[in-house]
Amino acid sequence: MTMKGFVVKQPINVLRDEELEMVQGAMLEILERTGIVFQHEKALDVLADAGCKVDREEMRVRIPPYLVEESLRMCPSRVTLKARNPKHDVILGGNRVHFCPWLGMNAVDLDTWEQKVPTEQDFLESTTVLDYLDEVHIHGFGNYINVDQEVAPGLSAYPWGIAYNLRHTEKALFGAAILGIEQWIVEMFQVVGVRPAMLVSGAPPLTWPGHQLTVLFASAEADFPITPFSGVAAGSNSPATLAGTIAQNYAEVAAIVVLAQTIKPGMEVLVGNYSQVMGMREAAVLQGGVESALMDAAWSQIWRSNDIPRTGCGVRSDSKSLDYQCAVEKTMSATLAVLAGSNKVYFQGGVYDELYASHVAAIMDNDIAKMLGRFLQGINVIDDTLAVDLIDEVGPMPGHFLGERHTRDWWMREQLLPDIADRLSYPEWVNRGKKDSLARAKEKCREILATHEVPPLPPDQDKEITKILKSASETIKSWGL
Amino acid sequence: MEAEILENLKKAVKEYDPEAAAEWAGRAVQEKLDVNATLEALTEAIREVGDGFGRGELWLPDLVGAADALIAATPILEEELGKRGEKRKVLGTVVLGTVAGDIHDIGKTMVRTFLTAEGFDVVDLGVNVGADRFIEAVKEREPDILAMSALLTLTAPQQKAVIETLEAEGLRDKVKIMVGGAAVNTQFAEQIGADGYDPTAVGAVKLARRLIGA
Repeated sequence: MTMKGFVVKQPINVLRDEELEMVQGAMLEILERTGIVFQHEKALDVLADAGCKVDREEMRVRIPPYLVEESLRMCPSRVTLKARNPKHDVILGGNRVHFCPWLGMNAVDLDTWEQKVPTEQDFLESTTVLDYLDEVHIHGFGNYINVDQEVAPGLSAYPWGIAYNLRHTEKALFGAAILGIEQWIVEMFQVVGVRPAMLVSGAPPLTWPGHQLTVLFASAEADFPITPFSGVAAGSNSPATLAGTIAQNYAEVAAIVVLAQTIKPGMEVLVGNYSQVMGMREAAVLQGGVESALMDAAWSQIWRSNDIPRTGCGVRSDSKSLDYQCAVEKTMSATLAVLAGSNKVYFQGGVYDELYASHVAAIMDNDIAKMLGRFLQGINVIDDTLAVDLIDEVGPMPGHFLGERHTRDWWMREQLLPDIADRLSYPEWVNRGKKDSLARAKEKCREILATHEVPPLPPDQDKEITKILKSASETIKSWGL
Repeated sequence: MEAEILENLKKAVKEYDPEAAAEWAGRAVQEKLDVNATLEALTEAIREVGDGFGRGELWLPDLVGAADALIAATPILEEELGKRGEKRKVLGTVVLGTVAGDIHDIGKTMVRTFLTAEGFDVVDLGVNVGADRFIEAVKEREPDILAMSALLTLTAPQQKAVIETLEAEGLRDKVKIMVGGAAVNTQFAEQIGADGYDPTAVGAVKLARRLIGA
């Protein structure tokens, strides 16, 4: 298998060794002293047997430090995702960084900047674009969470979205479910031979809902990796201080690692960070701030020190449009996430936090992803690139390098050619209609949609997916949901 | 004495001190102050904080702190109202909760804070509230508005389940329904037959005022 993504040669640290040690100590103390709520009877049974103190009435589990440390050691250093097409399989871990799309609840109309519930056509366009972009290494969930109620009402939106992704992209996927529908979701992946990472969502402070722990048990059974997140917003559901938020978030996700390793030793976990700060003026969660990027970098450092694959919250902006603020916030958070050694960065397509996404934005973001990839490739230092003989040959002025074979051999390997960034001369830019980057991205989008095709699923698999989806939808409908 | 108690009550709210607020509410009861006038003093104080927030001088933690102080004092005064057989004068009553299967508290707490600051009497049922508990609260408290939150796409349909149960019990016409939460949008709100939706806590207050015609 060809390795995808980029290698981070020397990840940066934002915590000093002794600070990392203090965060580790705080995490162990939180889990031992305060404990954590698991709203799931079987989880309580398993953890009680493993040596935790369990308060059945409160469903609260206090975890001894030795068990936490042992579980972190047992957690594999690699997570393998199997895609529909094996050439898109991905191994997450070590010092390799991958990009996957950012997801939003809704789509956005790029003319009016109004949010809209994604239609099937929006899904088709978004999935086609994401399948096309080389720097989208993992499709994940794709760009959208919601879908028009006419297409898939209520809860059936979840199995519908997964079936859609299985049919329309060959790249590696994530899954999400809730109590009652997890079996259909697992079955759909199994029919196509895809091994996704399953999302398990926490509810901070220090609580894991039962309907999500059910997904963890189903994933263990199916031998699927999980990717747990606990969405902390400093000052609201976690302390206002970044260190306190990091410690609490670490405790919440470490507790899931303990449960996973207790249920199934060696279970693959891609630990997720979704931390932000509470906007004290806006009364809304802020995601594009530098604080989020800083906490994300600390997250990567913490889990890197445990040699456990990690994913950050990635590339976000609080801007409502694709403007200066958007580009600044995205580039800053992306650069820090990558340099801190995140194994997977949610990246292409976000517009306003998680509220909406756009595949045209994904095309623009992909340029940033390419630049970061180029930066990580670094400077190739060998005799031929040092070119001392050539420099001697060309010599001082009026010598130049434009006509040299060495230039023809090397320039395209050294220079990144962006898809969207404008590099025309000023007069040429005027001649060609003074297009801005959004206009260029829209053009690129039209070109991709006109030319890129994703092979369909084999007919027998497609039929099986239709069958599962039908049975899931009918049952969900019978629940009135 | 009366002026001192009311002043201290207001001070407790403006200094975000729930213990002092409860203590001075107790004193108000002890000294047989007019309960509605005492409640009005609390509302005045939180409005001041709310106005400060509106002007950009105070911040969300200040507003939540003030609302917590008010919430600490209110039950003591309400209990006394009951004993005296009097009725509370409020802008309106709102029953509020996060739906079954969903334990997200923050958004709902902010809506509670802003509604309280506006002068609504807010009955917060908490998180993971099943349809039966919403119905029970509607029967018992006879609110003007029922407000339901759902963060998860997976739990938003529970709002529909509650509305259907209200219809089945013949209660739907007795209460206005507003829905909120990250998973909800205008299209969904219309489809499930809610009376209003707003994506923000501040907007929820305007919506609530509109729904009760205030």
